[in-house]
Amino acid sequence: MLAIHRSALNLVMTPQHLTPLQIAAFIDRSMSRADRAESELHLSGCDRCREELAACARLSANVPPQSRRHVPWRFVGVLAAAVLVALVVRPTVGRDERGSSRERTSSAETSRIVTLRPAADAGIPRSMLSFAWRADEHSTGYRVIITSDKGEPVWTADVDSTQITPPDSVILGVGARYFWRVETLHADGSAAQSPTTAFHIVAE
Amino acid sequence: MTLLPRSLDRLLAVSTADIDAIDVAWRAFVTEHTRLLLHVARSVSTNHDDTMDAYTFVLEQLRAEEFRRLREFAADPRSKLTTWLVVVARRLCLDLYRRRYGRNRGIESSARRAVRRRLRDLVAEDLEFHDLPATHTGGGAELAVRQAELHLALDEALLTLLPQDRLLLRLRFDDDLSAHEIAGLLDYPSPFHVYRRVNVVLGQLRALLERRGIENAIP
Repeated sequence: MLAIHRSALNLVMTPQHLTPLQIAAFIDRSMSRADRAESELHLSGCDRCREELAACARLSANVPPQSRRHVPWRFVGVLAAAVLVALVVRPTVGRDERGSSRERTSSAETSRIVTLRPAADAGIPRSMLSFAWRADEHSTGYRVIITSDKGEPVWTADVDSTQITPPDSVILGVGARYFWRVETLHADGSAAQSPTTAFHIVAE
Repeated sequence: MTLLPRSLDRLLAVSTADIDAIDVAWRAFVTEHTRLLLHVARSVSTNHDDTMDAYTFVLEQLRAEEFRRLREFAADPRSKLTTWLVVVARRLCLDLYRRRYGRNRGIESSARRAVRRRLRDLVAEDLEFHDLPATHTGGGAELAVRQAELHLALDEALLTLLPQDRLLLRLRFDDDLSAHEIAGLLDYPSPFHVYRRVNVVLGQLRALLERRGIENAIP
């Protein structure tokens, strides 16, 4: 009996994988009954399509809601352009960080992250070093970047919270000057970052 | 037939010769769907840079060949645009990663393999096959053989279920969807109906195996 079922299954099983439109229609339940039955038969035996269905159903159900902030129509083009610029000119680690201890965000930045600690030019023992900043309500996560005074990347970390302590494996020399900043990507594709500020490590 | 969203309608209505108008319409489309596309890109990425690469790639591909993909969707819109975008964007992101890192790398590989055995294992557990003792003579090898036989029997029993029920079990156990998610996807009135059906189907499996002479794991 089992063998009969298995061969029957193989005979009626749709050989083609489901198209994106079929998967989307299955999720939206906008297929005809016959198409849906055929898709169910295929999905019940095809790991690849079923996993795609499950992943996409989950993703579709959890799309973050659109921002409720009202954007005047005349700014829509500017916003879209900013999104594209942010994509093309992504912030890179290791830009020239020499110069003053506080500066250097592009004038095109639409928002800034406010840093809380360490204060600009603060001297801190290594064991006390941690970074904190104010939450950005539209953030999808933060990236903290430390560079040397030559602009070389020293440490980068991605974090969801608004504070972080560099692990012991990050070696920072006593007396040396470093710079740090926080960047974030908003859910609408725009970006924000903190000013780049200096700190130095003092003896314990 | 699904009505096309206005942003897509405008985009596809613009003459391909009018570059400025296309740019304006494209920017409006991107603005409307950026959140969704980033959401998808983030789901298949492990860090910020990968997310942005994937997002950029998806935009390029949607725009390629004068919006070929979007035109195909518009010609036969059998689902919501947003749902279709999720599926297409995810495929594009996965293609990008496969091209870049090879088929074995990825989001899906290890995590997916980890849960893939769950259905077999959980069904076996439900049927009290998990507690197989090793005999003095056979030891671990005998246990492994016996478990493999039981799993084979389970796989065969699964094939005898209705496709909808097999899909239900696989979504629940292999893909780890919640009862709530399955209810939405497979049109059950509530998660409780999903639980109830899962129990019924597990009962059917148990009966099938018992008919095959598998009543207890202990030799």
